[in-house]
Amino acid sequence: MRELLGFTSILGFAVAFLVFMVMDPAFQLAYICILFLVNLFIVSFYGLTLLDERKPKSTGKFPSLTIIIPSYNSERTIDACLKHVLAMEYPSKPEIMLVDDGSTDGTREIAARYPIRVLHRKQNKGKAASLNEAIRQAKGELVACIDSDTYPPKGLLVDSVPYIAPEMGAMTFYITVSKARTIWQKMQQMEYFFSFGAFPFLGAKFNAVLVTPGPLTIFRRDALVKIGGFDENNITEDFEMGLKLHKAHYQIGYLPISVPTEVPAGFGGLMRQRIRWYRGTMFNLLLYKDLMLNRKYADVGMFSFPVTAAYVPITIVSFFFVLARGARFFYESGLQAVQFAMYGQVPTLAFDPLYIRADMLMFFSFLLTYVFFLWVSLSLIRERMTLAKLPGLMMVIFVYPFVNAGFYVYSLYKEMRGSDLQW
Amino acid sequence: MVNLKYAMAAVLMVSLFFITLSVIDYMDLQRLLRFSNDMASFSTEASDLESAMALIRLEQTSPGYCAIMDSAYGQKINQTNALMERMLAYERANMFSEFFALKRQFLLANIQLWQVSQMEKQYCAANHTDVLYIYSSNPSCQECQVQGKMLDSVRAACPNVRTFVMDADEGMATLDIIKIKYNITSAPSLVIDGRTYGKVLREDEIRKLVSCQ
Repeated sequence: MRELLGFTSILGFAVAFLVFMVMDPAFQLAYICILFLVNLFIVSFYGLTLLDERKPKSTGKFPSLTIIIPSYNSERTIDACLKHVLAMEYPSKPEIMLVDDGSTDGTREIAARYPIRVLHRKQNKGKAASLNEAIRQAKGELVACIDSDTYPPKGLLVDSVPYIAPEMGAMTFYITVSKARTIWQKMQQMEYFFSFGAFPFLGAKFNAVLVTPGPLTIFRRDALVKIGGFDENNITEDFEMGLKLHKAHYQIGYLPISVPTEVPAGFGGLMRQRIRWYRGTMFNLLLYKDLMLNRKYADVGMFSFPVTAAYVPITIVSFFFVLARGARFFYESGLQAVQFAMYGQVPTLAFDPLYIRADMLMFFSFLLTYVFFLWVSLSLIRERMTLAKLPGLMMVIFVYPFVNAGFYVYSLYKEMRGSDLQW
Repeated sequence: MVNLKYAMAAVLMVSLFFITLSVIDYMDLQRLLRFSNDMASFSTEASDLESAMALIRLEQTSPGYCAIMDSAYGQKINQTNALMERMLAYERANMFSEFFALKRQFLLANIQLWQVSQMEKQYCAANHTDVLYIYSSNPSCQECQVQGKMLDSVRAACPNVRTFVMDADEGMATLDIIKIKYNITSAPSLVIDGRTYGKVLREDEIRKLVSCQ
């Protein structure tokens, strides 16, 4: 049955590609117009939220806190992570627990050097299981879950804990890339500015943050207990947790405090990570489909969940649209190049601003909104747009959308085929 | 309150969409306007030459007229291929406005110029070579673009060559007659000195045919 579904998805992809290959330019333009309209609505909605000047209110309280660091084979990063965790300031001494999830490298030895509690698990059971075990033993009213490759800043706790209102189930932060060295990391650096900058910042103003980022989120322990903790069978436990909190009518807050984390350095690592994320997204969107257009969940049900749900099919279909258009372009340009080469000619490249077509103009407007939200994202953490970031920006505008859409397509195929889910 | 926010976003979305459409429409009109201007001067020049030719035909005893005609001609027909390429690019870029009428006008002006050039040979004993280039405005005609480029090179190198472009896909009576007369069945095709070549000709082949080595 799963094989059949896998084959059906391939067939569907081929049909989508062929349809776009032979599609009349007028219909192609209509498709672009629809995408443009959807994009305009989302941008308008977020743009209007910019006018909302409400700021999170401080409770002035610093409840007891437990820091949980789930860890598996993280000898490369755990030392720096623990140094940062121990350097964090807080009025009372937080409880710090590291869960060693059956590491086979030197993680345990490094952790033993620090004054923290280490929970050893003989068998590797995954991040969610590690977190659940630690939550069960945690004493703090608040629980900060920190990935072992994340380096929280010194002032994070004092600057954020007072803003965790009683109705909040979690407080999220501005996750950034720690030292972008490779081109793929530079691309992710820019992507993170969008994903964890302006959009959650604005989304939090209408309680529509859907994800509690894995690198660092502070939860209310009673909320976690009430909703049954993390789903141990879920490969994107952070997205599932966000949806579960909303379903239980908890709010998710956001503060623009930069939290650097490690990201995959190469394409292979990025692809594995994204396929896990996107398969998890598809799985969880189906799992929580009752949130969709449900007024009971206010803007989560009416805006952010439907937008996230619509984003998946739109991205997948658009992948084939771009692929078909690209194939046609390269086919025609190739033919032309062959013709010119055959007759020893060189094509003339003339630039005329009036050659700009309607779809290009829509792309430029889309690009302008992208730049605008990038500017908002950067200004939130007073980050400057430097020349060093330019390659990443170029990649995120011209390469990432297509590569990312390809990851979505592959994730859908794997999800249909029911390949093993691995954290 | 929630509904108001969505309504405002919808209003903003529609407004931004119409602003974008207005910019697209403005660019469409600019393309049309620019090409109309180019076309108007090209047509005027074609008509000017046609009138001049009519005068020459009336007063066959004035050799000075032919010299005026010859020098006027050289510059005026030089832009035909560039004009055609721009017209095709503009047409592809346009979303709302059609180039239908302008395309026909361009074709007609080319026919006028070609006829005048033919008559010039007869009445002024001119020794230039007329090359009639039948192309297709269909973007899939890759050969048409190469052929146009080669004709540009030939014309630049050979002052005795005059080229005229005609879109085979246009339905005009004069064009249909020309197609029948020269047995034109495909694009690109070239008519050089009354002989039809229904394939892409290399630059050296054309130069050989027009006696410009």
